[in-house]
This record gives sequence, C-alpha cells and structure tokens, in this order.
Amino acid sequence: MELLNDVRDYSRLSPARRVYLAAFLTALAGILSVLDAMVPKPVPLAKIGLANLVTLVLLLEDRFSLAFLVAVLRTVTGGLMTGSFLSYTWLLSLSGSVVSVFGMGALRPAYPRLLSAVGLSVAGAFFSTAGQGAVVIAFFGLDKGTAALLAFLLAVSVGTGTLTGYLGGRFLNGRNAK
Amino acid sequence: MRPLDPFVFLGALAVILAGFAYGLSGGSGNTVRITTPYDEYSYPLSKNRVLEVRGSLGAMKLEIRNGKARVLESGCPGQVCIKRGWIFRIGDSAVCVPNRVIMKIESEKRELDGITE
Repeated sequence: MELLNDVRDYSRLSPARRVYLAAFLTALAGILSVLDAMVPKPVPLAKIGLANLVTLVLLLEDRFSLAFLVAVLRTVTGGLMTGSFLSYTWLLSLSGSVVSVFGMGALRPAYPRLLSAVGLSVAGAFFSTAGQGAVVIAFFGLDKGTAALLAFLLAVSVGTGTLTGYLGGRFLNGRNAK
Repeated sequence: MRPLDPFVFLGALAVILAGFAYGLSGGSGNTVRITTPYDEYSYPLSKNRVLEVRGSLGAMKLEIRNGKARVLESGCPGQVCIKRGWIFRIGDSAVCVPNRVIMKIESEKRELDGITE
C-alpha cells in the first residue's frame, strides 16, 4: 500500500510529498470521524474513536510527529467544518486528541515487546477521555455527577480502545504478511 | 497479550472504580441554591415547582420535582445545562455558563418554603 510505504519512508520523502501525505492522512481521519458520528450509539457523548485508528497506526510505525500533526489538523479542520472551532466542545476534542497522542507516544517504546497494539490503544482511548474530563473539570469544577459520568465514559473508552487497537493491529499484521 | 497489557486494563479499572465510588457516594440534598447574575435563591427540594429566573441571556425555567432539580428551558446555545439532567446529590450542580446561572444541591437543616437573599 502506497500510503503505508510513504509513512515508513517518511524521512526520505520530498517536502511536497510530506505535505501530501499529511493532508491525505488528515482527510482519512476526518472521514473516519464522520463515519464514527454516523454509527448510532446507545450512550450520548460516546465515540468509537475510529479517527484514532490513523493516530494509532502512525504511532505503531514510530511516526510520532506525524501522528501529532494529523491529530491536531483533523481536530482543527473538523472544527472549522462543523463550525465548532474554538468553542467549548472543540476544546474538548482538541484536549482529547493531544493528551491521547502524548500518552500513547510516551508508552510507544514498550511496543511491541511489553505492550500490544490493543494495550497501547486502550491507554490512548483512556487518555483521550481523561483529557476531555480535565477540560470539563477545569470549566465546571468537579462534582459527583461529573465524576460518575466520567467514570462511565472511561469504561466505555476501554471497550472502544480495545476495538480500535484490534483493528489497527490487524491492519498492520495484514500489511506485513503481504 | 503482552506483559504490560493487563496493567493498562487494571490501571483503567482502578480509576473507573474510584470515579464511580466518589461519584455515586453521598446522600441526597434537600435544598437547591440558585445563583444568577442578579440574585441568589434557595429552595427546598421537597416541594414541586417550576421557577423562572433571569440569566444574562434572558429567562430560564428551572424545575424542582420529587427531591430533584433540573434546568427545564434555557436560551443558551449549547443547552449543556439541560443535558445535565436531574441533580439531587449533595454537591451536584447544573451550570449554564452563557446565562451565568448555577444550581447547586445542598443540605440544610431548616426547611423553609423559600429564601431570597
């Protein structure tokens, strides 16, 4: 797959090709997050985190800066398109993305010897929810209802993180087998 | 499964359980304190009623029913305060940032019909 090869040969790409790659990956993550929003969910505020698949695969390929860039660009472009840019809800998604990328980046050296793709993804999903929770608490303070809701969303994120981790790991294994 | 995977799950579980333990602890309050940009009120949760208060954006409707309180109507754009739903535990609050209105559940010994300060 050309896209994945470009990610792997990132250091040897021309600047123009790098811009193209980052733009393409941002668009891909954007499409995934639109698909994510279309899936009916029994719980309000919950997301599957499909866009996180892009971040996860980039991190597994040891492309931290690219993962960070794509995560921030996706949040900014998504915010501009939905009109939520710089709003409170947009700050939530920005903090979720940034905390998640840094959290997974910090744990990345443990992959694949000590941590699987699923473990890394679950940690990332957890960090994402925790990052959003931190913004909520910063804005509204911590009360008991918020704590219970956050705990519940964190539990959901462990499930969705497992799913995206499984998908991401499978994707890379499938590519490597060829 | 890799050696550190279980620790990720256990760590997450510990935080989740702590969150639930804290979030679902504590008893129900008996009073709701309402702070608006213009005034501050306190109402007992024992009497059902719908209140109308003035926020920075305009009128807001608050409801007290069966020992719980919630924001019923608000002209704010996000409607976060309405989505907050019913609050009833001591320390719970529903906040409307654009309207600068705060509802907070408290526990008071006195049971008066209503106090304006």
